[in-house]
Amino acid sequence: MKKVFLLLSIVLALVAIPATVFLAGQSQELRKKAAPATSLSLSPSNMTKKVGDTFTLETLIDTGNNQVVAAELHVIFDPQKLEAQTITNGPLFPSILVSGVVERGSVSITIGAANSRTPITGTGTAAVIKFIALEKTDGPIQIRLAQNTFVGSLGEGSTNVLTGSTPANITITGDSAAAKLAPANTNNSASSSATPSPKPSLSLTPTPQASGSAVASPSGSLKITTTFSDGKTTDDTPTIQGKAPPGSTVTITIHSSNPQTVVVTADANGNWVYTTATPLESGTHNVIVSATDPTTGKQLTSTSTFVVASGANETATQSAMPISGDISTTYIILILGSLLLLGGLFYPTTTRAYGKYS
Amino acid sequence: MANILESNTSSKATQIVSMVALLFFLPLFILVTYQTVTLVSRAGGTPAAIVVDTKAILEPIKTDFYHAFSQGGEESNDMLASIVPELKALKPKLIRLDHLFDHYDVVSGGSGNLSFNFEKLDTAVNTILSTGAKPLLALSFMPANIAQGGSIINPPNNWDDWAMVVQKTIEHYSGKGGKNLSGVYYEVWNEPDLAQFGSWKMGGEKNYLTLYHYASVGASRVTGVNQFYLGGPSTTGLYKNWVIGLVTSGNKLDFLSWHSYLPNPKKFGEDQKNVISWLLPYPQATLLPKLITEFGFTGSKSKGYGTMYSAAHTGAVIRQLISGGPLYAFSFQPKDGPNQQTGDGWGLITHDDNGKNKKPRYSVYNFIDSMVGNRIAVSGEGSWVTGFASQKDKTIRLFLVNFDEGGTHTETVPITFLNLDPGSYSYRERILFGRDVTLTETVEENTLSKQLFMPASSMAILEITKQ
Repeated sequence: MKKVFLLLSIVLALVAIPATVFLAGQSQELRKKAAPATSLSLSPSNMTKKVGDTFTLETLIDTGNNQVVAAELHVIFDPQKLEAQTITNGPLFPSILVSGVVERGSVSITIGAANSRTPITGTGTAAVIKFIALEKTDGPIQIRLAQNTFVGSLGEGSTNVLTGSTPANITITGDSAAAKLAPANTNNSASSSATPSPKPSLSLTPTPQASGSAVASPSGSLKITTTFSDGKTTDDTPTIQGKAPPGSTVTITIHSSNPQTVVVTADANGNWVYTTATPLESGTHNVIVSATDPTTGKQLTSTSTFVVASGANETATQSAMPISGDISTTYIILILGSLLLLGGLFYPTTTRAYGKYS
Repeated sequence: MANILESNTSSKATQIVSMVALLFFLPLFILVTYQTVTLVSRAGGTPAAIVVDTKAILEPIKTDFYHAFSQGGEESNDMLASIVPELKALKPKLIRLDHLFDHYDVVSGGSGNLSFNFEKLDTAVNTILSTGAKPLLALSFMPANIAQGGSIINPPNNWDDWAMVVQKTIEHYSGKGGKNLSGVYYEVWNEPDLAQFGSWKMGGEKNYLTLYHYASVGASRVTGVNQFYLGGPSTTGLYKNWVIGLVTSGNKLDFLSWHSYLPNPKKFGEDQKNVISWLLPYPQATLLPKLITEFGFTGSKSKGYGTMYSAAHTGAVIRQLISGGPLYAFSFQPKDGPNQQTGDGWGLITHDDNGKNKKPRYSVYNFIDSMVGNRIAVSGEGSWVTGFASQKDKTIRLFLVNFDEGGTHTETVPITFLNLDPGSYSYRERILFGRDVTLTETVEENTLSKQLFMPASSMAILEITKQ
């Protein structure tokens, strides 16, 4: 009898083990097919923009077979060429779980379904990002989703159901000539300049490729070109200069205790310059310039920050920290304290009082 | 080696000189240390340079979440009854009560033979309802007659009794045959991790998960009820092991709650980020509503609660939570307890024995309500001055709050509104408890620049409307 049970047990084990392995494999296969079905893409996937253009990029999701509840999106890009301005949720994801964070070279946001009873399925816009083009590119550059982007789905536990993402390619043209060469702008009047691809420059210094003449600021470009060593100047009436679309009106606001706002006009080469009329106090100053591109009618802005380190001793604070007290009091107290400390060292007053030494 | 003092003076004179030097130097040393720390900490901050992109429209702003208030149990009666009109004016959505089972004589009888009398608690709940709010009832503490050793912070002798207490409470308030309320939140306990309330842990003899489990059992036994929500852990702060422990416990869990007494408003935003990152691997729990069921700048009593300091702190916290925030954040608390004439109570309103006066924090909620609309992009917030902007109809609004933990920082803030359509605008500048001026401004180049001096612990709303 015992032998029969033993045989039965062996037979059962022999059948059960492969069956279990097979079923587990099948289950894993099904899971593999279902779970990895979610993908993200940035749209439009290809675009051409001019320096100074603002544009939006949508993060599209295709949930595949998954029931998505939340997505943590991280989008990265070249901070030299692009600046993100905002990121927010798209219509498919009604909840912002973690507010959008815009940083140099990256943006992130965590978004979700309204609740876990109504998970997200299908395709649609997960998030919308607004960018501004900063500099010309030599060719297409990528805006893409970072590796740490995560999509969570009901029934998938801690598995990241995101299997693939499609980046966006953007080409930034730096001058009007380049813009006119673009197919979308073939109707624009042709430039008389036949110079092949003059290297655009936003510097005041003319480039050799431009045959010694100052390069006009490209249409749609506004920039402050003034640079100070370490961002500081000892001149309390500094000169601010930059580039703007030729002939455009540039509004310059220098924020200080008495903000200065002036309007200047960019010359035929797009250069503008302003020397502050009223001396600026020591500290940090923000400069905001704005102009309207006369060609496109677009509003352009650019900001910069510098520190005025003027005054008798030519030193200044790096920050615009409001001075609520006088540091000299601290020095006096420190000196007094130090003197008393030294006095204590030379006159060990505790000796007799406690009779430790004879 | 004898020194000059020893050789030329008596020991008594030496002692006197020592004492004088010590008395003189010690305060100086403390002062220098304080000043140095202050200067170093200030030097580490960044002033604000606010830029509002008036055309960068983001999501709709929710203003309900901060219209929630949590009343402590400093008196075992219907504390809020005397301030109903003042509370009503705050447009509360939820008002939280705790000490249900030790202040309102709800439970009597012995194990297995319990009796329930909700008359006294009903009075307090009715007061909440009369303000237009719904109650959030913190199921606390253990009825003494079923608690081990008769202590209200202990487990019960019989866990089924606790389940029964929870069941009867839910049935009474959410039951169609009871008070027939819908959408009532039931929070299991109050600050279980605090020694004062039992030092419950995530394991061991006083296991919060056991306390929660039997509450969940009670909640699952209810019949004939409207929708209600059960949640916790109501800890004194946001703790990962408590959150994950509860999420993975398998019990009914409709919301997560914790308290936040943090002086740094930015920590509130970090908490939101943290809790979501912890929950992302648990998709079934990621979207659970989050409730900060008590918040303030300190859990201790402080005179700061009677000044603009706490008002600015609340404003700064709301700023941090305005996007990606909790479902509700409960300000603690609507009314001071008795005998707090020194002004250090947590209340928005002083106690009846102290004049029922509104403190500055009382005015923050309705002030910020005018920010309703679609959020628009703001950049350039600083270490102390923060804010957000909104757009509704033809009006752009910018809320700014200046808060620093020392309560002394002042700042002149440069503000630029970008991408405005050229034309004439009315410009209104409102400082809470300060000036309210309206000017006409002409925008020619799409940009309007202003400067705003912000005194310590202050907040303002700037409005521009196209004429």
